[in-house]
Amino acid sequence: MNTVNQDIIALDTKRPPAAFVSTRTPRAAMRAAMVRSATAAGVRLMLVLLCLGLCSALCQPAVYAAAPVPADVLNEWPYDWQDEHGAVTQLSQWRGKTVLLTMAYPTCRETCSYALHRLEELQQSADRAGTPIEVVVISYDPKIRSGTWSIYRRHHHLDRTNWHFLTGSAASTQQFAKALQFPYWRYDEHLVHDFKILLIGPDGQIAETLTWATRNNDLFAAAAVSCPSSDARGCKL
Amino acid sequence: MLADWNIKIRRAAVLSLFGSLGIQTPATADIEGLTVHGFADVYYTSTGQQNSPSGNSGFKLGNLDLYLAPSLTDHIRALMEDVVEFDDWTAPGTYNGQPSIDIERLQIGYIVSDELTVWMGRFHTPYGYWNTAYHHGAELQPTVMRPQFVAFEDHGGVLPAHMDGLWATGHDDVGPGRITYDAYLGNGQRILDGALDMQNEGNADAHTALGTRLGYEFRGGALDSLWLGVHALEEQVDNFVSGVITARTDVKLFGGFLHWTPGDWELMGEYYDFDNRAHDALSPSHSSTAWYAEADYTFYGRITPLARVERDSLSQHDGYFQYLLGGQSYTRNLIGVRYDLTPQTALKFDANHTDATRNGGQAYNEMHFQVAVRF
Repeated sequence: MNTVNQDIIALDTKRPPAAFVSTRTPRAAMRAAMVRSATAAGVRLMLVLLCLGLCSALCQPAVYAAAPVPADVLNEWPYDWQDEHGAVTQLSQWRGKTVLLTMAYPTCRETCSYALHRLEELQQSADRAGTPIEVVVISYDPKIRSGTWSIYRRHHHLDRTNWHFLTGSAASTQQFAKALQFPYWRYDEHLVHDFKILLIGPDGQIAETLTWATRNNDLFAAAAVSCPSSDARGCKL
Repeated sequence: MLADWNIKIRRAAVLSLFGSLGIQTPATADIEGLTVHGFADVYYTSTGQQNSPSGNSGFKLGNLDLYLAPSLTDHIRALMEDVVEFDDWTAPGTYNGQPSIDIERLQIGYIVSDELTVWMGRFHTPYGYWNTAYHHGAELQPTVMRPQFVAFEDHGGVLPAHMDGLWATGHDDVGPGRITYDAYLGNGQRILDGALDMQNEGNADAHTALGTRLGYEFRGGALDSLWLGVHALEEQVDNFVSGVITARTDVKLFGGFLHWTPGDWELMGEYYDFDNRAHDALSPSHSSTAWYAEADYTFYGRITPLARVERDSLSQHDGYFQYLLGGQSYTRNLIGVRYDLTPQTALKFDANHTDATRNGGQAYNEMHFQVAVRF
C-alpha cells in the first residue's frame, strides 16, 4: 500500500511532507494527484489557448482606426464620382450649399428605402422653411451600371433636379464610407448597412447626423420659424 | 473539481476563439479587418399539426448564425457560416431538445474576374432563387420560414440545399442585361434518418452530383431587375436504414425561376420538375413537381405584407420522396407581414393553411411570430 503511495507521490514534483502523505488512503492520494495533474494541464492548456487567441488576434490584418472625418466634406474629398448619366462629378460642385447626404444602393428595399423616404420628408421640410438644399445619394455598390439610378428614380418618383445619385469606384466608395462612418458589410449578394443621413452645411462641415435614434428630427424646423418665406433664396441653414 | 476545470477550459477555448475572431465589434466596425457578423432569431409557433416533425407549439429558438467572409487577397476569398440551432426536424417522438452545431457553409474561392469565380467547399447549391439569395440569416428573408420544399435538409426540405464540391459562378454583360451562370459538381447526397446528407466526410458512395443554373438579368427598361433562369440537377441518392441501403434512386430535376423587384414590389417564384427512377430496376420513372410563387410590397421601407402559395405533388412510389421526412405532397397558402423595427431588427408574422391529405397527411393551420436580428 505504501509502495503505491510512494509511486504516486513520486510523480508530483511538489512533494508534500511525509507525515501528511501517510495519513491518506491510496484512493484519496490518487484523486489528489489526478486533480493536481489536471489542474496543471488545464493551466497550461489555458495559457496555450490564450496565447493562440492573442497571437491570432494580433496577427490579423491591421485594423485601422476610423479616419478622422474631413473638416470640409465637400471640398476635401478628391474623388471622382459618376452621376446617374455617367458624367464625372465631384462633391465640391455643391460647395457653398446645404447638402443632405446618405449612402444607399438601388436593389436595397428596406433601410435604403426608408432613408430615401426620410430624405423626401426632409426635402418637404426644407421647402417649407425656404431653405434650398441639394440631396446627394452615393451608392454602396460600385458595380451598378450607368443608368441604374435613373431607373430607380423613375420607379420611386424621385424626379427633382436637386437630387443627385452618384456611383464611385470600389476604392473610393470604401474609403468614403469609412471616413464618413457609413459601416457596411456583405452577406453574399446583400449589402448590410444601417440608417444614416448627414446634413452638411455650406461650409462643408457636418452640421448634424441623423441616425436611427434621431431619425425623426426635423432638420429644418428651426429655419422655418426664423426664415421669412419672401427671402427663401437667401435663407441658409 | 475536474468538471469545473473542464468548464473553465472550455470557456477559455471559446473566449480565445472569439477573441481571435472578433477583435472588432460591429459597433466599432470598419470595413476592413476581420469582423464576425451574424444573425439570431427566436419565434413563437402555433400549429394544428399533430406530431409535427418540426416540434410542438410554443416559443422556440431559431438560429444563432455566425458569419465570416474575409477577403484574403484581391483574388482569394473565404466564407464561413456556422449555425447553432434547436429546431431540426425529427421523426415524431424522437425530439431530444439538444442543439445542433452545423458548419453550414465553408467555402474558399478564387476570383478570376466578374465573369468567373471558382469555389471549393460546402456551399449553398445554386438552384432557383431562394437558396442563394437567403441563407441562414433569418433577418434578411421576408418570411419566417422558407417555402417548405425549399427548406434546409434538416428542416424537411426535399432539395439538396448544401453541396460539398466545386462551384464555378459568374456573369457577363450581354445586351441590355447580363447572363448569369453557375455550374457545380459535388458529393452525391444520401438519405439518412429521413433527411438528405451531403457527405461532409467524403463521398462514400462515389456518386457525383452535377448541376447547373443559367439566367438572364435585365438591366434597364420596363423589365429592369427581372432575373429569369433555368436550373438542372442530376445525382444518384441512396436511402440508408441502419447502414443498409434500402433504395437507390436516380434523381433528375429541371425547372425555372424568376425574381423581380419593380419599385417597391417583389415578385418571385420557382418551379421544379422531377423525373426520378429506381437505379437498379427497369421500372418507369416517377414524375413529381413542386413550385411556389410569392409577392410582397414594402411600404415606407419598413412594412412588407406578403402572400405565398406553395404546391408540390411528390410521387410516393419514388424511392427519393418516399424516405424523406418532408417528401409528402402538400399545398400551402400563406399570408404574412414583416415589420422592420430597426435596420437590425425585424418582426415577422405569418399564418398558413397547409393541406397534406393527398398522401395521408393532415390539413392544419399554423402561425409563426418571429423576432430576428442581425449584428
